[in-house]
Amino acid sequence: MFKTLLKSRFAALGASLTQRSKKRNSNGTKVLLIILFAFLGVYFVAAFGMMFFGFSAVLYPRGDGWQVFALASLIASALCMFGSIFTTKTQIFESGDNELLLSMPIPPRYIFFSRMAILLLVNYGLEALVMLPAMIAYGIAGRYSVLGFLFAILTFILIPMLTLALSSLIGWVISIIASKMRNKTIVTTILFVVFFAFYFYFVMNMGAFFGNMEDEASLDFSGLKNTYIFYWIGDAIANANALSFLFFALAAIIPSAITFYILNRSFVKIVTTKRSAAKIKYKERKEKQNSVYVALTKKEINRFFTSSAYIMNAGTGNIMMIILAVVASFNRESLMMAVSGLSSELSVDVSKYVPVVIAFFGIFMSSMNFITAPSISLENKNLWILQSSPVRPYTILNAKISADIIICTPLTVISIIILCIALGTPFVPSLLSILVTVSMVVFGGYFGMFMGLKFPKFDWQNENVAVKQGFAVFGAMFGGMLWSIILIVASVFLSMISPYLAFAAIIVVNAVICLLFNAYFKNGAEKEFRLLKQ
Amino acid sequence: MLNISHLTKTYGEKKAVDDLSLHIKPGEMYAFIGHNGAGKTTTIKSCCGLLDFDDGDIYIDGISIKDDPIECKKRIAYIPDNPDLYEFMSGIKYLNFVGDIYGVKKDERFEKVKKYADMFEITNDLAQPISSYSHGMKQKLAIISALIHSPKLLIMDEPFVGLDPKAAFLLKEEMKKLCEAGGAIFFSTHVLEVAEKICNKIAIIKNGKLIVSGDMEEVKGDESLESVFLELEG
Repeated sequence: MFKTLLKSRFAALGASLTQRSKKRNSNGTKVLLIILFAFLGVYFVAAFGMMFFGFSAVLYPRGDGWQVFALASLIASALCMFGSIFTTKTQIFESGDNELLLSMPIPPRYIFFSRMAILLLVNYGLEALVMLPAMIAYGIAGRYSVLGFLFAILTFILIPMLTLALSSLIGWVISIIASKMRNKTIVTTILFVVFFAFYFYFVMNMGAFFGNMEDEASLDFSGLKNTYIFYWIGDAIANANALSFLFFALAAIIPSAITFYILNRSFVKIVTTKRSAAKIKYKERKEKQNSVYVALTKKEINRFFTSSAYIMNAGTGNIMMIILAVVASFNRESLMMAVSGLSSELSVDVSKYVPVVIAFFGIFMSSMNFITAPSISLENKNLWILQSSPVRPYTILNAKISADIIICTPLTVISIIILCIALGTPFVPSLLSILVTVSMVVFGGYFGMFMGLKFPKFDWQNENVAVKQGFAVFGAMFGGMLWSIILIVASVFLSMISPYLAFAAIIVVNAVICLLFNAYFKNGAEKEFRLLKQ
Repeated sequence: MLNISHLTKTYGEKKAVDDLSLHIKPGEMYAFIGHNGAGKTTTIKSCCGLLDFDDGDIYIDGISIKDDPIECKKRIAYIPDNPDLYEFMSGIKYLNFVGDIYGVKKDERFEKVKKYADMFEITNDLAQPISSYSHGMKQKLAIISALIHSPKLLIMDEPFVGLDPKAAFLLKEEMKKLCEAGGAIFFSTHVLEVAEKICNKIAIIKNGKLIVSGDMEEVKGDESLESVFLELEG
């Protein structure tokens, strides 16, 4: 029975990664997706491998090899936590098929542990991106003892168990807090932003916390000793210290066992208890009549702001852009010093390129928003409402794009203004930076809509799947990022002639592409929308 | 009001609807019955412009759904077999959304929402998110959203599923009123007693083919609709 559950979980995981709609993917598409995932995996492994090889080459001869594993396990844990903290909430406690499975003669612990097993597998995948290259790099640049190598393998097994236990616990708490609130979306989003803010603060100040990365001679992460757990890991592997490994193993196993025991015991209660939120009283009043276009746009905006999963995944660029802009404004002086330092070093007035850099930042961050891409997938069972309405699909698609632009533009403009003020850029280049970024926001809206229409995903139970997975989302995000990089690289050359030329080129190119997409939506996409889901 | 002419729809090799013709005039209430998988939902969805079909045509108020689907949809209200509504909206927001889409004026909308919400006893729940509604409440909301824009043709797929007896009674009353006002209704149902009691027309479909259609009294004669249906299906 447990095997059957596991098989179905694996099938769902596989389908979520490779299947783009109810229709089966062709082998070609599957191969393409596998190659894409493999490429990303290899890229991360290579990047971490090179980093840890460099660290090992310096730290091992100094007798500080433990720092390599302390740092690697810290990054791996952060990655696992980051990857699973919100997934556990939706996959375990709010999964759509919990009630169905509980109605079957299946022991609840099987359901709980089959879900845990999949999440654990995902965590192992994430951990492998960091720990494996670190272990290999250390093996090449340094040397393992037999016991140290054994501890490395055991540590690899234990880390995801600890992170999963912690993320499950936090996910459960978030789930309880959110369910008691009237506006769950705001609560979950605030928790997410707080988590993000801490994460960025931590990453940006990692040197201050744990050590120095400025140059090879002063490379030092001895501050990691204060974290105990990561120090124990490093000491166990690099110095084959059995006592350190024992401390780490106990610190990982005991909390994990307690957490899994509690969650398993309370699983049925957690997933079946309906926590009632305060009832909203209906006040009779005459509502304003909106045009069809406004009604559709408002509906899309409403859709976005009532789903924390939608905000946190498809609006990541907005969240990160505003956080980074605020962080930059707090570090105004050091940024200004960096600009003037670079100017004197290169004997060029770098300050005139600052607006270009701000625009590049805006372009790249905007490309991380993909609000329109999952919007058709999210219609799913509600698609009949739009399809049976007396509204042209062109109007529907345009309303979705408008909603995207309305949501993203204010935050984008505010972020760029904050950066321009912080870096003291003149008015006209600042204005142009804003226009360039807004052109990217509009491009993102159209491109995402195109991907969403071409590759809708309707086989989801939990809306997280629609906003996180599938070819539409994946393609819109990476396609948008790729496009932003192309624009940035092309603009670097153009800005050597004149930054204004670079600005103008980006705006014109984005505008032309948006017009082409618009023409397609007006003429070719009508039938495509009408026949969706057949 | 609704003229289905030689409708044919195939899924791969299977003919879901095979050369089906049906004419529904203003004032008529047409029950559409058949076993599971007979082609009822396919026919209904084709009439609402939700499905493309291979052959034939469908006219709403004389307008072809193929040529001008938007004009046709302005005259129709459709209630699907499962009331999947926007769960992120509150009941009142959904009704206002539908009102906006169909251009229902502010005052008229207010009156109708009040009338139907009071009638179906969901006024106090209108500010609640639809995600908190029971199946029956969602069905009631879907019915209200269909009625607030005064459609000429009401097309429903199993409208009585999930409704409590009082709501089912109220729906039947509203259906009668709509037909008396010159509208027409075409709906599928498995509740033969309801069809027999309130409909003046009946169509029976079997394996995609229309096997009988016409006046209720003529089709069933002295027998019950159930025995006629079972006889024809057998």
